[in-house]
Parts: sequence; structure tokens; C-alpha cells
Amino acid sequence: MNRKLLAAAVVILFIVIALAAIAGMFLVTAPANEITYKEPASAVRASLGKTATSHTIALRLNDISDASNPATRDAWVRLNLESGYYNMSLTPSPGDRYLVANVTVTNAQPTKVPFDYGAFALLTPNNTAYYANYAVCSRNCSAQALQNQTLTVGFTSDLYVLFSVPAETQAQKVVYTTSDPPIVLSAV
Amino acid sequence: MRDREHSHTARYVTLAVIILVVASLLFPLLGGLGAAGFFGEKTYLVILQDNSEIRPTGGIASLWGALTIRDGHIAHLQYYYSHTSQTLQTTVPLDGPESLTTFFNVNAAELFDSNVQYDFASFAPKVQSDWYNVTGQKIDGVIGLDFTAAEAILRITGPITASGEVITNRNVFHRLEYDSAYAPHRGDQMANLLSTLTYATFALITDASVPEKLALYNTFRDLAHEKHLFIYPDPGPLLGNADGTSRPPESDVVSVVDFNLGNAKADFGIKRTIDYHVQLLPDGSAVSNLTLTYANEDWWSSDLFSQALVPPGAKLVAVHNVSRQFDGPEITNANDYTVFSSRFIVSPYSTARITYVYTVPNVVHGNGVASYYDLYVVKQGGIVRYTLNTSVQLPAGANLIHTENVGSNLVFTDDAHVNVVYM
Repeated sequence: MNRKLLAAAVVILFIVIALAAIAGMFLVTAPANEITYKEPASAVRASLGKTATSHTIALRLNDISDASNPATRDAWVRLNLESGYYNMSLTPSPGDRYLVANVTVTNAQPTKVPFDYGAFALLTPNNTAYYANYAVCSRNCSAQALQNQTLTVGFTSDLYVLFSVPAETQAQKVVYTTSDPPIVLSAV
Repeated sequence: MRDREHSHTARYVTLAVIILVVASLLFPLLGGLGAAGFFGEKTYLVILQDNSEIRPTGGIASLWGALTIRDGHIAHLQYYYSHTSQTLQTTVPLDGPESLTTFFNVNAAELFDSNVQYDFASFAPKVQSDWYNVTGQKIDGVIGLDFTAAEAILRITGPITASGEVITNRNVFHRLEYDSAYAPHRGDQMANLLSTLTYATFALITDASVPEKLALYNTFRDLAHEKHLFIYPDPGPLLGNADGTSRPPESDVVSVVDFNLGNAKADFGIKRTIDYHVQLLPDGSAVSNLTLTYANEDWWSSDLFSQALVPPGAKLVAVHNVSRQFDGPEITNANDYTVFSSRFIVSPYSTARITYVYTVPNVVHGNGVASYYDLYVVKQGGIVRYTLNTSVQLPAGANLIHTENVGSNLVFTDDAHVNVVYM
């Protein structure tokens, strides 16, 4: 009798384990993968249309617009064709939108300085950060800022930086994270 | 006495059930872990397929890595970039398929561009052999993943930092494309990104919490199911057909295998629709009307070589409704498939469409009471989604009993099965 009970208990135990494993497969959720950016107190800041200067570069946020905006799309296509590298689609995945920041980039030093468009992040009002997907600019700008990742002496050019964000996202700021100090540009 | 015998029998049956349950739970797990190098050493060729430039097995194979796993940990990892690696630019012979080699009159390709077979399971043993011939290195298997898989894996690992840049599931695809476009300057960054992602994934496999491991397993399973992740040889039932074998069923089948030519990387802007109208005849054969529609939402052209694989014995009756000039169709007859191949341009913000009308023998089977028609639509690796419109015309006088996946605007991210039962 006890052996029968033991066997039944073992069977039930395995069934419970199997059911738990199956339930687990359906119940688990992916770990959070959003990034929250904390602005350092030392960051230099500027409002929309104003220039902020760090040790190496000066940045001015001219505009942020949706990639579906005809003027934005036209500028993107023109510069993409001009630079002659990879053609980047402006069709986001379902549920997402593409936001494009127009930023004027200037070398603030009398020497070459490093530059990485990947250091741009778009911040929402609750400081969720979306790091840049891609950037385009004129042929001369592309050769320096994008291909060689350096800005020569006297460099200044407009850069269009694209961010993939959830469809409901509102842009609050654009931050250049790797300058010393970081540069925070208000979008509103 | 009889009660005691029954009691013994019941115990043996119970014991057998327990052993079966334990075995069914453990054997696939042990097999999977063994295949992954958790018991001993395994070396895999890891191939990143850029599915924005679609190729038969999922995308152009832009980055290749030799990955050695010893006792569940990465012992060695080296990535090779197609634009800069002489190894990957070595010319290797092509062993088919005839639909491609005849159309383009080619019999060789660079190693990184040699994934021309109809499915990954056919490509993997070939590349295993080619890799050995080119490098002298023996590999135990081949792992293929595309940019969609990289995005999904990063959703689980969370953001990573590679070459000082923050890579997330939202920007990984464009960063990889960007590095590819600005090669060779950023080729190292691309390899660094993939190395970091590989280590992060392995750290998750070995060190993460149980929910994270389950999330990763679910992701791998879904990616394998939707043909964004391939593992050859097949690691077993845990991932289910992860080697990407396309087995031609003994029924009606449509398998469209596309090839994006001219470095256009246009495929993420292409929306695919398959319209399939089939007229079933009383003798079990059928007249099929297959229309492939490609809507280009991008601002540059897509140069497509499209191979439509249909049942063996199919006879092409007509080609029409073509939107513009095209090359083809070329008809290839093989044991498993008849293939209609065409090449055409899909212009910016426009639609290209091609219709094949053909007859198919013996696609209906019966059991003496009812007749059954099954259509399998096999999704190509790397394609994210497609729309399927199907209609089935029964023989005169037949009464419909059951349908599955017959209708319009059905969106699939995996293979589709259409089923019709009638009397």
C-alpha cells in the first residue's frame, strides 16, 4: 500500500514538474531592456536652436521630426544618395516610429577631434534613452564624421541622426554622451 | 494470488511510465546540451546572415565566426568579415541548385556568397566541407542567425556595449548595416559587436536566472520556428527542425526562394503577398494560379531573382500579369520540386507582380468517404512576414466539409498549412 502511494506520489511529482516547466515557458517575461540615462551634473545644456559647447565639440539641435514628414524624408534621401553608402529604409517595424534629429556639429578645437554618431541618445520625459540607429550628412561630412570618425579643424556640418522608438514616444532631449562633459540639448 | 500478480503488473507499468516521463524530459535536454558543447568540446561555424539582402538560406552571409565551446564555456572565438577576409573571398564550387546555376550560368562563388541552396540544412554540410577545404579546420556544426535573430536575442540579454557604443535591440540591425557599409573602417567594430553579443548570450545560458534562461530558450525556439536561427546538425526536439530542413510533402506546396541581387539591401522595404487560387479536378489533379506580389516601400530599386518551387510534375501553362519586363521564366525539373525562376526589378514605391498558371498532378487524396486537399506554403529563411490569400475551387458537385487558412489577408511569420476537406 505504501509502495503504491509512493509510486503515485512520484508520478504526480513528475507531472507537476512537467506542468510547471510548460507553464514557465508561457509565463516568463523578457528582462527589461530599456535604458534610463542619468544626466551628470557637469553636463552642458542648451535649448532648441542654441549651441552648447564641450571640451571638443559644439552641438546645436535644430529640429526633431518624424521620418514620415515629407521634408525630413526628402532631406534624408538626398543626403543618403549624396554620401553613396548604405541606403537606409525609412519604414519602421510595426508599432515603432523613426525620429530624426537635425544637429549642427562643430569642431571646437584647433586640432582633429574624435566623433561618434553612436554616442547620440534620444531621451523621453522620463529619461528613457534610445541610442542612435544611423546618421547621414553631406559627402564631405560623411567622409570625416561617419567613415573616419574624426572632425577636422574647422569642421561644421548638419547631421541627421535617426532613432527607432516606440510609436507613442515623445522626444524631450538629445544627449551626446561621450564628450567631456556630455552635451544635453532640449527638444522643446 | 491473482491480486498480487495484478499488483506487480501495476507497479511495472507505473515504473515504466515514470522512466518514460523522465527520459522524455531529460534526453532532449542532454542531447541539446551535448550538441552545444556542454560535455566536451565542439566547434561551430557561426554565420550572420543579413536578411535585408535576402539570399536563399536567409540573407547574405556577411560575418562568419569560428566558435569553440568547451564544457559549456567559450574557449575560442574569431570572427571573419566578408569584405576583408581572404578566407571568405575564396572561390568555392557550387553544387546547385540547377534553377540558379543554369539561370546565371555559374558554377562557382565566393565562400561568403555561396549560400544558394533552397534551405539551410542543404547549405550547412556543403559549407562545413568548404570551410575545411579552405581553412583546414574541422567544424562540428553550423549556426546561422540573421539580423532579426540578433534583435530578438538582444531583447533578452539587454543592451550591450561594444567598441564604446551602446547596442540595443532597437539599433543593432542598423549598426551592423552601418559597419558593413563603412567597411573596412568599421569591420572590426562589427566583429567586436558580434563577439560581445556572443559572450553575453553564453553568459546568459550559463549564469542567468531560471526565468531568463527560459526566456532565452523561448526566443531560440521561436526564432528557429520562424527560420531566423538555424543549428546544423539539428540539436533535437527541444528546438524543433532548427536545421531549417524544407521537406517536400506529398501534397501541394509553394515555396518561394528569393535572391536580392546588386547589393541593394532592399528587402526590409519589400512587402510580399502570395495569392494562390487552385481549381481541384475530379481526378485529383489541379490547375493552380500562383501570383507573387512585391510592393517596394523604399526609395531605391530591388533587383530580385525569384524561384517558385511547386510539386514535381507541375506543367507551366502560362505566365502573365507581369508588371514590367523580366527575365524568365526558366523551368527546372528536379526530384523534389518543379521550379519556375524569374528575375525582375521592383522600382521604388511601386509593385511588381508575376503570375504562374500551371497544372499539378495528384494533389488530392481520399479515404473512400471524403477527399482531402493540403497546401503547404514554406516560408524562406530570413523573411519576416508575408500575406497569404488562398481560394480553393472544388470539383463540380462536391460539398465542402472543412477549411483551414482559406481566405484573404492572412499574415504569417512561419510556414502555412491550408487544408480543405470535401465530399
